Amino acid sequence: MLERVLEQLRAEGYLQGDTGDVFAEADAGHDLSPWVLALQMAGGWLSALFLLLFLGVGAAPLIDSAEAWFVVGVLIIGATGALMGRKEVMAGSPVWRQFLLVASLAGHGALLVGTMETSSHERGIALAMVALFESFMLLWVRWMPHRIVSALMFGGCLLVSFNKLLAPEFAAFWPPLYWAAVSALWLSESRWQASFQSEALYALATGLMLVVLGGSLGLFLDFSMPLRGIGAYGGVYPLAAVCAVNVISLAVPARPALTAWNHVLAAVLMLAVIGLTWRAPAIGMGMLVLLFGFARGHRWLLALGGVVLVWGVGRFYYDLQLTLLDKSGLMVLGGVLLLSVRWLVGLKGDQK
Amino acid sequence: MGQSSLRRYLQSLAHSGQLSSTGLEIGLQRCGVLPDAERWHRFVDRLLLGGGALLILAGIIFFFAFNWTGLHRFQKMALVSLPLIVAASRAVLVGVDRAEGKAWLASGVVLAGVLLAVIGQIYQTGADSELLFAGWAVLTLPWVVAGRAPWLWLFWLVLVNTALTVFLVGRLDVWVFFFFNDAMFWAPLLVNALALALWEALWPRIVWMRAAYAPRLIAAFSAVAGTTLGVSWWFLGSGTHWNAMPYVPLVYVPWLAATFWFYSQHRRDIVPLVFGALSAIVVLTAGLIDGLSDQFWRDGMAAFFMLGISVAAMTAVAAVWLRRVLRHWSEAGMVGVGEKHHA
Repeated sequence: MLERVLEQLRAEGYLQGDTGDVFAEADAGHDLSPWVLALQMAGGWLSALFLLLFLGVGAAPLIDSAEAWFVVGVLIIGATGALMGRKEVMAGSPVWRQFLLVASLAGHGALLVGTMETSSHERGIALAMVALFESFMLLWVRWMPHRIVSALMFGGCLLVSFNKLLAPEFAAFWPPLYWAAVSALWLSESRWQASFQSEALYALATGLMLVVLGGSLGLFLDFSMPLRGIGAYGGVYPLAAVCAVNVISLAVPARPALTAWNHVLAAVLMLAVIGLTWRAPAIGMGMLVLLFGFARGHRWLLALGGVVLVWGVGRFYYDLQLTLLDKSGLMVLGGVLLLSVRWLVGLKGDQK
Repeated sequence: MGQSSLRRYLQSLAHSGQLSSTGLEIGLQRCGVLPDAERWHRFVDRLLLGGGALLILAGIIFFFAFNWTGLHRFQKMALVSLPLIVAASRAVLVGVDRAEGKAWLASGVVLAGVLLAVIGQIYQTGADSELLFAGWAVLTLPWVVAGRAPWLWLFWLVLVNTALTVFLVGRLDVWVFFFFNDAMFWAPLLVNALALALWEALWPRIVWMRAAYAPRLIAAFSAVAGTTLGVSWWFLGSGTHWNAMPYVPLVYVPWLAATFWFYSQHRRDIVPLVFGALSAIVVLTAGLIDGLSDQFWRDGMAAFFMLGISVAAMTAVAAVWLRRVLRHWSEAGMVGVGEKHHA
């Protein structure tokens, strides 16, 4: 099948040159049995943790200021990053690669310890500088696991610096801001996936998405606990903004498929469902991630979206201040609504 | 070539400048990595069907939960018994040779446990929790035998392991010294190793048993039980009141050796070998920690360094051996179970 597709692409002018060697490079490091690779990753992590404890026990008494922690963190991340980018390292033992990753994690940890050692009024600036550093590492280190770590650090440090530097009413809008960026990135993947920095953009979309979903699941921050509002700061407007992002992100790509009255009605009903659950944005976000995962062929994204959707719906019903009887009625109504949408989608409606 | 390999290959062509951005998108669509209209329709249909059915089912469960305390005990038992009878009847009518029949039978197996729990809730006899799982396993054994499905046997084995674990954890107290021999802690490894041995013995003779995932999962259960036992031996083996612990190597080492021999020479499956290697690494690391325990107090740095280097060395040795095994299978034309031609 691949050969046939390549011939078609070549005939249509999209593909040039000999394609023989590219596969060998693309598959570098992917020729191991996945089970043996998993063993090496587990062993690499365990070994690295012990060696980092060795370094920590020896070095920690010598590091006594925030600046020293920053220097140690930058040096460790820089050194491991430089090694990770080398071809011979990438093609070599997975144990060594996992060791470098764990060592790099220790460097990121040192940066976080350094920010905590700063005074309260300097912390916002320190976190913003760390976010800037992580954005550079995201672009520079050409290995996906490390890019994702850098993206997570970038997203996390940036939002905490928002909280420190901006007025609370503005800082509370970081979820819709991040979510809009995530949606824009996944929706536009067809445009950037061929670019040189596609891995960095993929990692950025993943990192920001995990930061927002972590917040929406209540793992940290007060954001979007269903029906409890957004916490102390922005009230319900950030929730509404996230809901708007969800609706737009679903409606815009679905427009070409809305060619019959039944499809339009089905879409309106589903968007109404998302609108009605706007105070539990995990539902809309989970649905969006599920659809992104399917649309772009990323199975892990599909699975993550499913988990978030189930969690969001469960948490929504759990938090409803209603009796079990009323909740049961709502659930049945919700189920009937979904089956009705299914029936509408399955109808052979007239085309416009 | 899997979907991730296809995507990686086409993206590499794009990054090298040979394939345009539009060409990459078209290539992914034509290779089936990105869904077409038909797949979209099927996906949306199943998503709405699954979501709608689950919500309605949850609503029904919530309705009964709301009314549960007000129900008479016979009504409660009837609420669980009726679906159980329906499931069993459907399994008989449809036939367990069909997937639908097996699904009905599996539902009956699960509902049998729910019924036992409801009976236990209504008639509070003070029985131990492990009796629920043990009774569930015993009563549903004929159905599991009739089902002839690896996944149903695995569920049954989980019930047995749960009963065993709850039994052992419940006796981690003074009773173990007076009434029970601590050799009972060998039971999880022995039970799972026996289950694996039986499965492998019957594998060549029974077609439906030849699902790769089943013995792999049982091997995983054995590895967890064996590793727990091996680690416990280091810390409880001497100078304690655990009388049978010093003899653990007589069980653990033969189990490990038998696993390595059987799956490298006979059945050729890399997965149990990986589990065995991982178990050996964890147990040996526990031994090192036990041996260096005094060292941690005097010089933690040196102890951590030795542990780190040792674990790295053991992992590297294990990986080299496993790759050699795979290469041997590949060269001899004996591709292992579930493995492609990897070096």
